[in-house]
Amino acid sequence: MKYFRLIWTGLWRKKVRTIFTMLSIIVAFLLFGMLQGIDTTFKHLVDQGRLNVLVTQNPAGLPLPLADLAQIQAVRGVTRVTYRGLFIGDYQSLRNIMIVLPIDSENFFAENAQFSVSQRDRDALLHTRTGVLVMKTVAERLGWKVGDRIPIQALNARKKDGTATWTFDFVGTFDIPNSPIREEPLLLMNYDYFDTGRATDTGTVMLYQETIADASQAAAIGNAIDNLFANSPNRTHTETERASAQGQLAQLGDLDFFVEAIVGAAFATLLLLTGTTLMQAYRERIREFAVMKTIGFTDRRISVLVLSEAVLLTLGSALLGLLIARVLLPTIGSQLSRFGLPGLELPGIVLLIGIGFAVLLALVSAVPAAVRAERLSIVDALAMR
Amino acid sequence: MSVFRQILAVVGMNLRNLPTRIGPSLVIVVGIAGVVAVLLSVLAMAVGFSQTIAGGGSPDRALILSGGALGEAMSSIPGDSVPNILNAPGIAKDAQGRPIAAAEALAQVQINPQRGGKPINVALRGVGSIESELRPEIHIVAGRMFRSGLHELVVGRNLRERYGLDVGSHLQFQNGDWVVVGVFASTHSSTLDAQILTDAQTLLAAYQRSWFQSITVRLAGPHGLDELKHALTGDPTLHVDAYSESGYAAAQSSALNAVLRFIGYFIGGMMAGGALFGALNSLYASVSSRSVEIATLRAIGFGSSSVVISVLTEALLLSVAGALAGAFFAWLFFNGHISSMQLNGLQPPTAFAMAVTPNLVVLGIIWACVIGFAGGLFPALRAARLPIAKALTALV
Repeated sequence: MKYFRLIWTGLWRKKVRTIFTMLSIIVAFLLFGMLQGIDTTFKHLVDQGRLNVLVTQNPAGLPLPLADLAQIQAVRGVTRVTYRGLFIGDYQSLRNIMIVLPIDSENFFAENAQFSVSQRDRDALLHTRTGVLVMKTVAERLGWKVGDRIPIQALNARKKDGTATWTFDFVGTFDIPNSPIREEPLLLMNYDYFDTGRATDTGTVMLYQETIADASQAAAIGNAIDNLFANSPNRTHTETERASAQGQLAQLGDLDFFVEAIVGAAFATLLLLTGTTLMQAYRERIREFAVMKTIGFTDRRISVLVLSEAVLLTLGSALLGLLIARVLLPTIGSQLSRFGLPGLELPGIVLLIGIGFAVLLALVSAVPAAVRAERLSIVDALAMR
Repeated sequence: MSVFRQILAVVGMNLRNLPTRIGPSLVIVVGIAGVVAVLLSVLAMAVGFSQTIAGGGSPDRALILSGGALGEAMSSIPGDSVPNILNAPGIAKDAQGRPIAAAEALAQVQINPQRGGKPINVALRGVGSIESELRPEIHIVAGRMFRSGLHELVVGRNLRERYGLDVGSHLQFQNGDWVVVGVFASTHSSTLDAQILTDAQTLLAAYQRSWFQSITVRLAGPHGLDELKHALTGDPTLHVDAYSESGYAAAQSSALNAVLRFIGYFIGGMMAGGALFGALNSLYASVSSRSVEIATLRAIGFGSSSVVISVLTEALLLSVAGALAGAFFAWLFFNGHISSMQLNGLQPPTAFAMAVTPNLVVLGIIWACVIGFAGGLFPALRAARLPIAKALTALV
């Protein structure tokens, strides 16, 4: 560490150039942090999909009859079954889209432990036919309180009387701790209120969710369920919750590919930039290095000094860029959550990968300069040959 | 010597010895190529997407959906109200006096891409028998049209390119084996190019359904839409509304289009910042390596403006070279590349061809010139202000 001052002074030999190089590196790692943060958030959503929970849906994207319930319950290996519908509406204007899940409020929470709800709120929903539980962050944002009546304009479920306005009684809140979707406008209502009120598709559900005793039997149980309905007009497709989440991510488009291409382009440019900058800095200091060698610095020590300077420069800037990304991402995420996108964060693993990339970048771009510094001949350098 | 000839001489000299500064010059070219390639690739998605969405919509056609529905996927029209709707005024008639209109049904089919990868949902659209008059822009490019009553399908050309579905492919769904008998394409790229078409009645029978999602009609004359809208919304038993097909298409794509453009400009802007700092560094280095040369020129009577212009010319030429390289790579890798994007959570994703258009290339060059100018200006001013005596004595 006694050489820190020497490295530090070398770094700031040309202030403007160092600042510009730092800014480029900061930008590249900010970009890396944000894009990887988005990517890992989506992957995190997939990983939260459980392997001991199966999801049964109609591959045609249409609803399934509720009458299938008893048959699914009887399948060997299935311990619990719940179901839900899908109701999409808006509150006051299309800017406030609400995703309302009509649930089987007796069994839903037992199967979905990730929903944290107080027993009181759970009972309130069970006993209030027109009740609704609201995502905590959303209820706070909109200032809803217990006892409020909330009108929601349906976009996909017209009522029997021809109107589209459903009125709910706000009975409580729920939360999904540690989930990227905890700021999404998600509401839970009673399936019974939904099904008896709607004009079309009565007696149907969007999906069944089965908890199974043995996750290793998932494929066999899924097949057993699908075979039950193989000859019915509404065939089913059953897969694990995780596979289903993976499928949804695949539908979203070529996210992975674009993140990798952009980060790749940014890093390739950066490698060239820092490489030439370090080479320039080296050339300007050829005489200094020769003097240092003359007064007793070994060849190895000189090359280590050059490398350390590069690592300090890239690592410091990269950390700064990653930290900015870490601060910015949640802010951007909560802005986007209004549109139903998951919240964003920069997990520690991305920070570590970023730091790894920074060190790699420093070493690769500084090696040419370091090798030349090591091989530098004192006589030639002092004579400026 | 005139100022103009002075400038020409200095610029020429500067460019001739560019090869000696190859490293720093490459930083500018590669940096800007990266910015332009990323900007153009993301915007090519936005352009391709909106071209595709807009290509499906024609101002001569209208789409009828159930009242309040935000899109076809949310709409349902009972089969028994279809005849009443088709009798409404404003719909064009064919030679036999039949309305040129079709009630259409949508379903999703899961297909396994032939090149591997996860199964993907594709829209299956049941269309009417009058399709060739309703959508004359659709033509069969391989095989033949489906026949009604049989489990026959025709697939859009994007599905052939992206997922390998072709004439002779079989798909299993709804207790049936369905065979692809043809591939179709639209004259302008359209969302239909990523869908599977079959006969509406066959589809309804297979899914045991009695309702349609939408009705597409050809409008009679310029006031057709108004007449149709008036008649439909005036009948309280119908609960439907009519929209101009092109207006509907634009409204559907505007949100996603805005998001894509935002991503393109945001990421492109950040990368441009990075490239700008790189360009500044390289050009400062270029000026300082030429300080003796610049001082000599000034000493023998060249004006500082010619020096400024020579530095700016270097910056702009390198930037344009970078822009062209970036645009070339974006075009090479992504022009015509079939990408897929989901409009909203309720519809299957739309496959579309990305389009690197001449307009986008021009946009890339403009961005590059702005970066080059900003990156060249301060180094150029420094070159102009260089104290002659000091620069020349540094040599000795």
